[in-house]
Amino acid sequence: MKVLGHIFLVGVFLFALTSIVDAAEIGQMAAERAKEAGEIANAYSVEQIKATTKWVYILGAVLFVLLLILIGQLSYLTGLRPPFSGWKANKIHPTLILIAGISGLISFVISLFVVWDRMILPSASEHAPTIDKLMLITFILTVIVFFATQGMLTLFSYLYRGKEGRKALYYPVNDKLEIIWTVVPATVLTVLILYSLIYVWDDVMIDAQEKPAYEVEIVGEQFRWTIRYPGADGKLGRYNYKLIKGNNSVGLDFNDPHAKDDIVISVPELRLPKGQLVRVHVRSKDVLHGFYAPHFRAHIYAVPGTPTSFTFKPTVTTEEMRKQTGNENFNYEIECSQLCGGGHYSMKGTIIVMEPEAFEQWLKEQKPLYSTLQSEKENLAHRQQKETSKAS
Amino acid sequence: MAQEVKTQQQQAGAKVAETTAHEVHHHKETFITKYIFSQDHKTIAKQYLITGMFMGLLAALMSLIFRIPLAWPEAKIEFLESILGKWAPEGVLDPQFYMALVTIHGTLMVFFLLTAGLSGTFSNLLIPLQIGARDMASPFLNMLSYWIFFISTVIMFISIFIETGPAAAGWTVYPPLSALPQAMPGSGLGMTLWLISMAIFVVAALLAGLNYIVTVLNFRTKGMTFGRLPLTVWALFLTAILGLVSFPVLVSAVVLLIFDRSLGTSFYLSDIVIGGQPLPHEGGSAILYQHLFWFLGHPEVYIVLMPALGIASEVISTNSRKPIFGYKAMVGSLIAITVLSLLVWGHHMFVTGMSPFLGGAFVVGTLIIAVPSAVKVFNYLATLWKGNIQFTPAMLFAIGLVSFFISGGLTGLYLGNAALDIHLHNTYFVVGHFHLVMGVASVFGMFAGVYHWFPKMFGRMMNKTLGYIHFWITFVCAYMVFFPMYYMGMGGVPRRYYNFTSFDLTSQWIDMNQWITIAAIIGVAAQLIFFFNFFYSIFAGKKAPKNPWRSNTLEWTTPTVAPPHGNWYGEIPEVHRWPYDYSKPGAPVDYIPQHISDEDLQKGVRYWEENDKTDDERSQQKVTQVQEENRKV
Ligand code: HEM
Ligand SMILES: [Cu+2]
Ligand SMILES: [Cu+2]
Repeated sequence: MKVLGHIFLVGVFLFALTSIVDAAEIGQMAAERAKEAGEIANAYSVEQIKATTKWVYILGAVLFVLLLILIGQLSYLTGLRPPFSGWKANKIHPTLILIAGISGLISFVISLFVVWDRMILPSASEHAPTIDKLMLITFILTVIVFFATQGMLTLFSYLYRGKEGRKALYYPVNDKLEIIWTVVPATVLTVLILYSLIYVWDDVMIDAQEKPAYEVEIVGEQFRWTIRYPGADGKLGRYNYKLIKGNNSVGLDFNDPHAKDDIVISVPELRLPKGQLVRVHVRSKDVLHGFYAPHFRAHIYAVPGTPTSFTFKPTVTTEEMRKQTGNENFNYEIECSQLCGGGHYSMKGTIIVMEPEAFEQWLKEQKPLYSTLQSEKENLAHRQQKETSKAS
Repeated sequence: MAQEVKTQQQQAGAKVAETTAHEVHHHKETFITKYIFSQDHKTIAKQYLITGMFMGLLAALMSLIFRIPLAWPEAKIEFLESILGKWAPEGVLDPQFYMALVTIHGTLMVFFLLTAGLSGTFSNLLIPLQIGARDMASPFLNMLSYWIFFISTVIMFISIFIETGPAAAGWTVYPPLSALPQAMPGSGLGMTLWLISMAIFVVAALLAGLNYIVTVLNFRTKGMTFGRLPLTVWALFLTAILGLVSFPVLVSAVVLLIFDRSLGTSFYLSDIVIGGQPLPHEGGSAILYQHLFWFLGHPEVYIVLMPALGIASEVISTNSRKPIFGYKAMVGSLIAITVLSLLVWGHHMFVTGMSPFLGGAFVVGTLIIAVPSAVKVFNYLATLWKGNIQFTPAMLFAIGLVSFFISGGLTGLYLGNAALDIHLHNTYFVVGHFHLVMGVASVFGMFAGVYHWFPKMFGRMMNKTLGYIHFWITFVCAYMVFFPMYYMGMGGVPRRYYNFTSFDLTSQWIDMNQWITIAAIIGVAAQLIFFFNFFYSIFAGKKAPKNPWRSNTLEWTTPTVAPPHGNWYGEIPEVHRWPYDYSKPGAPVDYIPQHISDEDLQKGVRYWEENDKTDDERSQQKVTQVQEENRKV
């Protein structure tokens, strides 16, 4: 049985390894083809090289398998002892655990330094610092617990490693301890929850929703964003998905007077005035999308049939942020955060925060969709008229 | 009523005993009844294990393929074209197929490896053996559940190869993306097969779960009270209950989705324009699906995790040569997790536009569930404290589990806190979190279980050295792969992105992606060592002693290879104590198996060991005798 097992497994491994070799060869051949295209290689020596490398590979494979079996056989000698013999000391693994634990915790700290600048995004909205502060509190709390528990795990594994003649402490329960480590985390968490719900979540998601704000809309579809501004009356007009057609890309209902002055921009650049509370209404034309603007700590889904919104106040203009980060090309990005199909990874928008005056100026220069459509219609009617008159 | 149950139970017990005796006489096993349509819970456990292992390997290989464009967005790898054909033109992975691979990877890992493979294997193996039963309550149902599961595996597997590609809407398959074939190729036939496969999977899971519950309730041996159940059995039992409560909700979610896809209903669909065409659906809610899905989805992570925690409790206690610290607290926290995990699904939906008041309620539930999890960690640590720790491969994996459970669990405090989730939702922070706390931790629990109970399954030992190598490479690589994902998520990198080239926020992390991908390749390669060790040891491993880890639980009182029918040749041992009497003062050795009474204890170790042996030998002799007689007849 044992011999059979050996043969079986050697076979399997050889098979696996030769297929790897084959794969490697395909790559090699491709490389050669490339070389041949570039320069006239000596065909004879290429053949030769190919033949030799194959043998080297196969030899390597055989050696590898033999090595594995050898390792297997060797360990039998040091394998398990029959039951009831004394426990054997095992030093290697507790030492490795000690090394892994300490170096793990050290590399955690080092890695924080390495990634910190990329990881902590500059914030650009009024509520962002409150979220960041909560994040920092949670970070400090969890890092302390992380070090304490991982440290204990490492240390206990090392200190209480099995030794000959050692006896473990029979210590099955201590109710006081259980109560302590139930009540302490529960209390800390309760404080954290209350703080976060009252001072952050409610402010950002509930109170802000009720305040008057400048309303804009961003509409997702596979795989782009369209933006709508309310126009002179400051109100977003009605829409209906059945009216989405041609250039009326967000389905405005022009029976509603508020819709007549709405401005629709198909470039995915959401321009916002600095220092003004804005309510970004989010909706989707087809599948779920996610409106995620990390620098503003703003995030809400776009759900077909269920409009949503996120309210925030931008506090740093794009220009200012470029100076602050020292990056000429900096842009606030809108990422799609909910899988929406093959182009999800490239469904990009930007937010351009402007000084309020510049924003007003820019907005004035934009034409409402209604008038654009109207003039298009007129043009069309004109052309048709011309054609019919020509025909007649 | 209670009495009635009891008599039924006795009858059932008697019946099983009778059949066992009976089968020793006449039963002739063919290859098919022994290895394929077997009703023996131990064989079914192995079937679950091996199916799960191969699904897991497949999913891991998929992750290597889809990690390539993340690390080297421009790389042309001709090899990919030769295996994937049109999905990797000129060796560059297609974005649609990237999503398909991610989806199938997630599905296989969560459901096929870690639900069926983990819970299925160890529930089947351990419940009867550890409670002292001759088999499951219904061996037939048990066999049925494996084969139904197998059908769902086959359907899922076939779906990978169809023309339009497998399901690609993520393992959560949110509609409308998953409901509209026009939205992506993967939402065509691939999604249909995915849904059918999952519906069948749930049927299998329910059949299996019912069986586990009934078995634990009714088939415990004499003296095996609930207070003496090993923590593995507690965990598996509660997992089965949790599955029974939550899986049916997934079925309803899936069935409604099938209706929306095929019958034109509008449960999840409303106001959709696709390909320039307005669809007639109105009044549905895409968010409704998410409520239904996560009502299973969140418990699911505990369905995956709890068996692993149970295994860790057992392995850590045995190998620390110490009783598990706070047995009652451990059971209590499992029960608390079971109940609370049904009440927190909304934490996956904080930014869907759900009412912020509701969000607040879910925050409270979510952070409360952190408490029992913390209690478990502290109890593990207290168990190690002042132990006499034996570093078997299983023990290393169990210690690794605790480490990952901490590293992954702590970040749950960020994601469960709605205010922070605004920034972190659907970023790589989430990917890092769930891989560590549910993925790697549970996989480590599974490895611990396999190394620990391999001798019971196959009567042979796995190779220790290979086990150690496997552990260390996997442990280090898992951290290198998943920990950096936290950093990327904090930095605003969304998940499920095919490559990182479109955004400034993402492209600055490409170097990190290369690091992760290389670590992943090494980590997955290390799993081949495990596969080699596993199959090699089945055939050629060293013969196992009867109780190799000197463990207290009942499974080690059966013959080394427990007989296919009935597990014990003679009487089922009676239980006299809880399973964690390790290093008890006054005892002659550092463990006292559950079936040892205080009287036996007085008589000394020699006595009980000899007694066990003679029992075994005697019954073995009896069996050979019977077989001889049969042959003569
Ligand atoms: C072999 C090591 C593994 C690697 C390298 C790996 C890598 C990844 C990566 C990078 C993603 C995210 C892809 C994206 O969002 O674009 C992912 C998704 C996922 N992985 Fe893994 N993973 C591994 C093992 C596991 C395990 C053990 C589990 C078990 C729980 C698991 C479950 C999942 C799930 C559920 C998803 C989400 C799929 C989705 O977004 O629909 N993975 N994996
Ligand atoms: Cu998207
Ligand atoms: Cu959850």
